Amino acid sequence: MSLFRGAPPVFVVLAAAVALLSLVPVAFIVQSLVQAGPARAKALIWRPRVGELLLNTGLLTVLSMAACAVLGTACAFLIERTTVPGARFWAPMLVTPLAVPAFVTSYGWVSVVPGIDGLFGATLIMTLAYFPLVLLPVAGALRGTDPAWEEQARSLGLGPVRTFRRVTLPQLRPALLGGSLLVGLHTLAEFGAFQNLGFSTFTTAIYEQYQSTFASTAGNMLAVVLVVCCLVLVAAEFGLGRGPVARTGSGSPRPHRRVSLGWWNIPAVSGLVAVVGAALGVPVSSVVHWLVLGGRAVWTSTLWDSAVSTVALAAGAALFTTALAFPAAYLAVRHRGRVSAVAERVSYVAGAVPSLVVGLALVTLTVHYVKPIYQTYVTLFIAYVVLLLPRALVSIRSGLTQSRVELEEASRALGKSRLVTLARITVPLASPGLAVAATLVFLAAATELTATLMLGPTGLRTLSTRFWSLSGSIDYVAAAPYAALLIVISLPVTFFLLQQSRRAAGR
Amino acid sequence: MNAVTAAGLAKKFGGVTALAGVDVDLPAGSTTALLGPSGCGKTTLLRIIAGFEKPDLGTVSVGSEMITGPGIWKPAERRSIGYVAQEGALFPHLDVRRNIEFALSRQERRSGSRLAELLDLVSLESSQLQRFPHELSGGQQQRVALARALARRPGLVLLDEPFAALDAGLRSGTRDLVAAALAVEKVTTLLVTHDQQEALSFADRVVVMRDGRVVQTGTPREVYSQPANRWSAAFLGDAVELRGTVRGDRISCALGLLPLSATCPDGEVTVVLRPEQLLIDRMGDSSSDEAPVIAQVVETRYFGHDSVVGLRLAADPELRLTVRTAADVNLGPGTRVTVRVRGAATVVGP
Repeated sequence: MSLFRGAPPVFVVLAAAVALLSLVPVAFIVQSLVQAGPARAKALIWRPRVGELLLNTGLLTVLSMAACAVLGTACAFLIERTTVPGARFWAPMLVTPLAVPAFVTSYGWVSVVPGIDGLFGATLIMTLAYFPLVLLPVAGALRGTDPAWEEQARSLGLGPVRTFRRVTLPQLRPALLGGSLLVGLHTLAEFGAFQNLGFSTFTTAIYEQYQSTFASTAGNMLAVVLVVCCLVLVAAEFGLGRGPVARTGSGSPRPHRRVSLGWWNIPAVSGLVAVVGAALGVPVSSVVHWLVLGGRAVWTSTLWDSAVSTVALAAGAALFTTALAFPAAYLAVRHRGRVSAVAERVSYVAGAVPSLVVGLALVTLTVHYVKPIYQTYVTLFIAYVVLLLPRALVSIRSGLTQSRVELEEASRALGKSRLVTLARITVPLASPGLAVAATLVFLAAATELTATLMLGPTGLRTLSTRFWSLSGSIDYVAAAPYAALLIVISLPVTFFLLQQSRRAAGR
Repeated sequence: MNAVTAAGLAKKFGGVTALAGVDVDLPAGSTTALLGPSGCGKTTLLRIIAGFEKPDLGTVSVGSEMITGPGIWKPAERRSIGYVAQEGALFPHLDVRRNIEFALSRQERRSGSRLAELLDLVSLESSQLQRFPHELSGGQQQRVALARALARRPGLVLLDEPFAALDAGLRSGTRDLVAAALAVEKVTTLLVTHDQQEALSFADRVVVMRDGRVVQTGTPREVYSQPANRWSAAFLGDAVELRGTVRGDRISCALGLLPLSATCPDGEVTVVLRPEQLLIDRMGDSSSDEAPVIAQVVETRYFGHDSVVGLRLAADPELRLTVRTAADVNLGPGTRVTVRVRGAATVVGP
């Protein structure tokens, strides 16, 4: 305990427990490798089927990341640095696609363009669903960089294009890489959308294996390769994304001068219309189309039941995850040390593990060791905690940094105990961060599909699992109200993400 | 390098007037300080000359070529005007060498001779070339920024409060070094600052600005000893204000009959003197034969290098005077002294 001098012991225990919990999927991967043994593992991994999946998944991931990087940066540049008409309108419109789960986007596209499939279709859907993950940080970076750098380059004789390439782009690198990493991880973890498109990747293959033979060694070996892919991405971002960080001066930077587009307004606006139309217009209008076709008959009591259980489940996940993340975030901010740093990093790396693998790990663990909680809410909540802890941590941490340690010390000096200080000073001051964390977890849990499918108690129907089974059986009409409710529930995510990106840029 | 002329510059940001018709000349090879309180429009003027901002009205010319004017706009990158920003604005992703060489051609980079010259000019060690901006002290950052701005031999260098962010100890050393480097390069310089000492000691011409207008232009000596108005007098340093009556080339006031620095029509006026123009002696020590002006010490503040003494005139107890005097003169409250005036008084208002 001397490593956390002064830290509440309860917090240390809870943080350690959470870190251990996050390690369950990784432990599962290691354990399946050990269990299979080197010869069997090699035979199951070095086979044409895995090569084919690796090619599919790899190409898809690389193409989606590149497309999102280009599209996200271009849109961010247009809304942050040019005089394109309606920049205030475009910013939320370009972020809202994140409120449409990828499996709803693919449903929307498939029902409009039934021929859409294969690598092209999958790349298109991933790009449309996830380019805001690049746009948000890049837009923040474009806003946050000191215009003095660009002016400096101009006064040194560089034209606008060369200034962008030599000065602006390097400033965007961390944001661009971070955003692309998220796109990559989401693509690797995506499952529902590919099932819709009939495109086979590691996730769909693992799920097929799981359905036919439960937790088979072959399926586990596929999971090993998938997790290795994720870790490669995380490591690559870690290696490339470092470097001298941008410092902003002590004064508030003056706003950037916007590039006047002139006649370029026409292609710029048409481009934005096309992007928003494809990412938002197509899925939303096809949901509306099927809703109109279905009329009142599709608003069944099953629908409302599953809406209620989705909200209850997501609320539980939000409370549970936020409460468990708080001790870890508190230790990481207030008692910075080697152990808390390691614990934090562990949870981030574990956060890169696809939900399918988390599901597989928890199924294996519960079936073999804790049968009583197999297919109960306990396991499902554990899965949500493991999956969503990283995003809760980020928000709580930034909330905690708002409450300065001097204020806590002042409270202690006024004779209040550590717990009273925590309750009366720390938590109230960090509450905006806690609220954001809980909201983000709520939204993610409400649209979660894969882990819920695998771990949910028999008979549990959420909006996403119902939508998935209905759209899987091509009952687009019956699926439409589920999609509509999923989108409505997720809409606040747009607001929160815009808020966060503004705050990150210091405005 | 040709002279730079800005004429009739006006600029508004939203409803706020930053510049309300400003004319500034920068003679070739001169060092000019643009001095004014924050918000007076001096930085806006600098940014218009640099080409970062467009004025609503007015022109900027280099020699006979107009670079900003009605329908005329030369982009910043083609002006060949060096610019050193407030905190250096070194590119954080590039090391010292690549910052300095940012705008050099491949040939110049390969030969390395310009780099060596520049390092020498700003007294940087070549061992610092691989450092990144965040590894440098504030003073070093500003020296790198200057080397970068001078790399392509611009005809004009603009310095936007480059020393403001430095510690007091570092400031004067960096300032001297920059001044020396600019003198070696023989480059026309415009320094924006709100620090009077800095403007007076750095430049050979000072332009005083207030509320988007030029109040006064002249040598540092002129603007300090002959301020254009009461505001300018107080802004440039401590000032003693007196009322008096002008007759011919002299003014009659509480301190006797004083010469004027410039002619003025007869009548009631306000004049200023600088505290160091007033000389005091203990009563009886004075060797002057004129009728002495007698005063009583009210308080003494000791500053080490000198002392500031507050006086009450015997003839006019309402009038307070501040006098700067040698630190070793020990004058307790109540001491009676005689006051003499050195040099001329300047009329600053009616």
